[in-house]
Amino acid sequence: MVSHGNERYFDYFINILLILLAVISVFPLLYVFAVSITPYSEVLRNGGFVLIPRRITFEAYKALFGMDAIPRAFLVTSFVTVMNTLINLVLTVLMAYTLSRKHLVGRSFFIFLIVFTMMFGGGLIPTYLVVKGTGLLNTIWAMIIPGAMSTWNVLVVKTFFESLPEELFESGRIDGAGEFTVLLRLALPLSIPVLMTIGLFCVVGSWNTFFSAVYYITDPGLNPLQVIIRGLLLSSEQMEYNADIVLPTTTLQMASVVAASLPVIVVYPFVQKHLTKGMLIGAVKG
Amino acid sequence: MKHKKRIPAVLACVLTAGLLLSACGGSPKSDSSSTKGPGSSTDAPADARAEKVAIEVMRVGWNTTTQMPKEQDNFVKKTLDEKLNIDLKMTLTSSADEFIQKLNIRAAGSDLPDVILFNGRNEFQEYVKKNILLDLEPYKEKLKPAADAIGDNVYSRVEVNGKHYAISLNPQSNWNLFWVRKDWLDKLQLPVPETLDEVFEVAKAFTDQDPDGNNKKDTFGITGSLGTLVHLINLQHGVADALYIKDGKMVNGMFEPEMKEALAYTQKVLNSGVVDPEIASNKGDNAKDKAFQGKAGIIISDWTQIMKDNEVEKWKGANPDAEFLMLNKLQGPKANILAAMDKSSVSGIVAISRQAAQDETKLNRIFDLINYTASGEGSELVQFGQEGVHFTKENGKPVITDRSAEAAFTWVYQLAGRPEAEYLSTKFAKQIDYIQASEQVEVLDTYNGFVVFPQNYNAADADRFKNEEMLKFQYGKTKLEQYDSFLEKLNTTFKYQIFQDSAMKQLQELGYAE
Amino acid sequence: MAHFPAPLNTAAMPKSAYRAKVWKRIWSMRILYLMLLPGVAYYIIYKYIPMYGVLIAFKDYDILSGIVRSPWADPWYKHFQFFFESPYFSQLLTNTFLISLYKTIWGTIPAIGVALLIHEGRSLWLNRIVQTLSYMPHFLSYVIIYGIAIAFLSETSGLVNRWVVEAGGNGIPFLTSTAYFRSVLVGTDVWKDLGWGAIIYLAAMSSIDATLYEAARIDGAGRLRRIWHVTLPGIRSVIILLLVLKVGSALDAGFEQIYIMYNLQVMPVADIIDTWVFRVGLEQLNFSLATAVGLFKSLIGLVLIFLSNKLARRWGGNLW
Repeated sequence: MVSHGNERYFDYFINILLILLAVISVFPLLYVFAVSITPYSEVLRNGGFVLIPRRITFEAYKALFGMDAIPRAFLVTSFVTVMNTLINLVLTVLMAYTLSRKHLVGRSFFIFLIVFTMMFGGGLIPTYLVVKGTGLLNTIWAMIIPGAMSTWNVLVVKTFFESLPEELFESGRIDGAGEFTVLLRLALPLSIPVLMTIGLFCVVGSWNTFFSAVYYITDPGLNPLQVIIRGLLLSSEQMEYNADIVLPTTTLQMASVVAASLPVIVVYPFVQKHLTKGMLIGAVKG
Repeated sequence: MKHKKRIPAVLACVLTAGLLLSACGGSPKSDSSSTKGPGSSTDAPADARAEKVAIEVMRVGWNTTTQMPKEQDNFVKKTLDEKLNIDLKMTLTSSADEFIQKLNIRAAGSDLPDVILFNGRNEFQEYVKKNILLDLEPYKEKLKPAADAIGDNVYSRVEVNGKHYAISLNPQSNWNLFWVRKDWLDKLQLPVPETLDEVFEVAKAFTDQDPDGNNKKDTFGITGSLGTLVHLINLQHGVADALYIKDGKMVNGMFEPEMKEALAYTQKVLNSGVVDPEIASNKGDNAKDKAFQGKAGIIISDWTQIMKDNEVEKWKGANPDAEFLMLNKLQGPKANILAAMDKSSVSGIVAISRQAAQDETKLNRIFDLINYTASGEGSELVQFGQEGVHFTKENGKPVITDRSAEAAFTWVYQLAGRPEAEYLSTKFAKQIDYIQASEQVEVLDTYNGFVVFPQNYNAADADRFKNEEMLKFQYGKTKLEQYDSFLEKLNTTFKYQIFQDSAMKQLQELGYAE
Repeated sequence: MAHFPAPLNTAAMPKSAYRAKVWKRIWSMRILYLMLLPGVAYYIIYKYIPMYGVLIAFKDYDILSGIVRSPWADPWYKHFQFFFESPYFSQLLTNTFLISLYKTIWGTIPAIGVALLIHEGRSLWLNRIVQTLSYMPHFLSYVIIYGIAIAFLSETSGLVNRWVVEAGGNGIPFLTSTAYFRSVLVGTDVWKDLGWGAIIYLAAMSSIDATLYEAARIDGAGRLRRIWHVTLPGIRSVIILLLVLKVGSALDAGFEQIYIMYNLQVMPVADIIDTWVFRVGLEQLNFSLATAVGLFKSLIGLVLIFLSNKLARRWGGNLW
């Protein structure tokens, strides 16, 4: 492809904007990270603001991982994340594919059935009673099953399936394939970007599991990461004055934020690969 | 046929995820299966004294939730379990909001913990109204050791309709006072302020005379929260936004003439440019950070926030020359009061659920537990840790060792409070001067805690209106002449009159007002 | 497996024959219904069964008696009335709508812009880095974001105001003035989710058939024209879908963020329905009020999503 002069300037322009975007995003993050590795006294001397620390210390991280609760919480959260994402993807794909078939009898009804739940919910107490009734209370599954599906995800995947060319499915059916085979062989491979995206949303969502733990879990051994982190982030104002409580330093708080988000941040580049344009070339005609 | 290649990729992805699962999935699962659910021991034979009884206690644990040791290292639980033949489970939440939400849904599922330690009176009263808590009247004899350790008003402070559903824990008295940078005073050769006026003169000097010597006008006099500043100014005018007794009569400070004088004074202070411009919005540690960073010379706070070892480390680290001085005596324009405390205030309300009381063995063990932590070795265990490890005895008095930090979590087991003065002087031996100095503060008794909000009174709306309008008066955005019409609107539109009338009636019935 | 049936021609058909035909079609698609089953079961158990909880809005809910046995409120609209009669009702409604509207607008357009930039950028490594970096702020909780906002925007100590003062200006009360607060709310929210929000559009863009670009290029279309004629139409259905769903939740203005960031001075522009319910409900543990307000929000949301779905039908993007 030969670029014209105009197009080259266009590229420069885009790159400048991209760099600008990177700077806006990274500047405050740098602050979070810098504070986490700066000795606390230096943070205070600098008026609470550090971007490039003069002295580096990993004391905060040491203190963080020295807490008994943290490694356990990492395990719990990892388990919840993997399970929840798998279950979510399977259920979402099955439902979204079915609802994307325009000839399905009762399609509008089913779609409305799920959209309705985005508006109306029974509230905390009846949901708790159902969770209790299904025997999940105070088990790790209480953080997985009640959030096993998201209407938003179903609708997004459905929209993607709908945008796939209808001839594709026709050709599959002419070959005598059943619906399930069409989904598995034809629709899924073409939907890698959206599946990756939805999978990512699930991973991030379940990594941040907090409320379901607060409501359904009383065993401290089953506390997920975010419950522990929130305990550290609560400011002194929200606590009653109590001589016994040792408040965590800003440094420790920032370290906990970095440690808790790093694992999910690392996931993204793997997803990103699949969001590159043009990857579907030839797939349809192939 | 590119898409054909991708299927194995998806499969591989699923498979690896599956492997990961079986690898890491084991431990949390086995964890959950080995944990006994609450109340699982109710089937234990009632006569078998040897049988362990599971007891669940729920309270707010703040960030101590992150500091709890592993079960096998938890010497408090081990000792209590062995001594009392129980299996004690502490359910701790990291905030008061979380506590109440968790408690509410558990109540709805009739799945309450056995012992509940409330921090707030409102929640406690709601639970009494809902008939979920055990009336302690028939059991007072059994709870006598704990009640004796706490004091005379153990039940009366948390009385509801003449009935006693809980024992109350003695309040802690950490007053918010002015703390002045002593080194700045010395540098500017100023005397220690003895009156409220002098405090603000010092604040002015701290703002104008470059106390940190960097040739920049980058400091201000006072920081803290606006609420505490206004509170102190009010008290020094002999008034408070509360119900209290004045000249033998129960009054509401909002309607007293001194309130206007105090407001005028606040206006003057806030408009003189010596106060942190963000004082009305400081949250969390903002104000403390400003003081520790040397941006403000006076902070309103209590000794735990300034003088505990880890706090001292913070401000000494930022500036080794810094020194803070606590002002525990001040002569104000009308009074020398510096603190207000509700007559009903407590540091905790310990109640037992009626559900737990159905099992007599369990109930007795709960009483044992509360009594055991109330005095003697049990009390020492939950205050200081293990003798010989975390504390030793000198002349019969406990002295903490350098391993006491390992016992920082034991306070969550204090179910019958603690002898406050003794506790603090042992645990905070270095800070004893400040603790004793804050005990000398002149205190105004208030009575709001006894009042239950009347129906149809929206306290949240009224509070917002009151606070917003008061803020306008304080900053001089509304003229003081408007004060009476503000009260009028508060009383009518926001139904404050209903609250006021009901409060007076309730206090009369309780015998606090005539 | 049979071929997929053509649309039913129902015009000239007797009723019984029609019914038989429908059942036949359902039977022919039984595999599809089987695939739908787990999802529907989930929705029934965890979404529809708990819905009886809305009864709480019309009762004086008592924890001990449970939802069904609690006494009815007298009058039945008591808790709704309590909400409507609050002197702040209209202010709460206005604030909620405005903040939500701003967040929708500023949460959608810039995210699409970012997705376009990344889609158009030709430097692969720069794309990767920018994508990852812009996605990271999403993981900061609002407590941290507020901390960052203070570090940058505080009137006395914020970095921005230090620059302003050094340039000879007066400190700007970003966090405490009614003039700036909503902008700060929306700004921090947009910043947090800029890269995150772009992901879904990027996924949509990557699914556009590349031959369309090729065709446009051969027709002599420049980059901008290709964006306008190929890329944007290619993600139209996703944009419409997300907008329709956003409209449905127009009364959710972001409780957590506002609860953490607001203060007394900015109440008149920042207090929303959810923060009000939290304050009032917490004071009196009033579940019935919270449920009644929730029901009110749901009803408005339902009306809005119906309207927007109707509107979306015009562009062929209707949900059902």
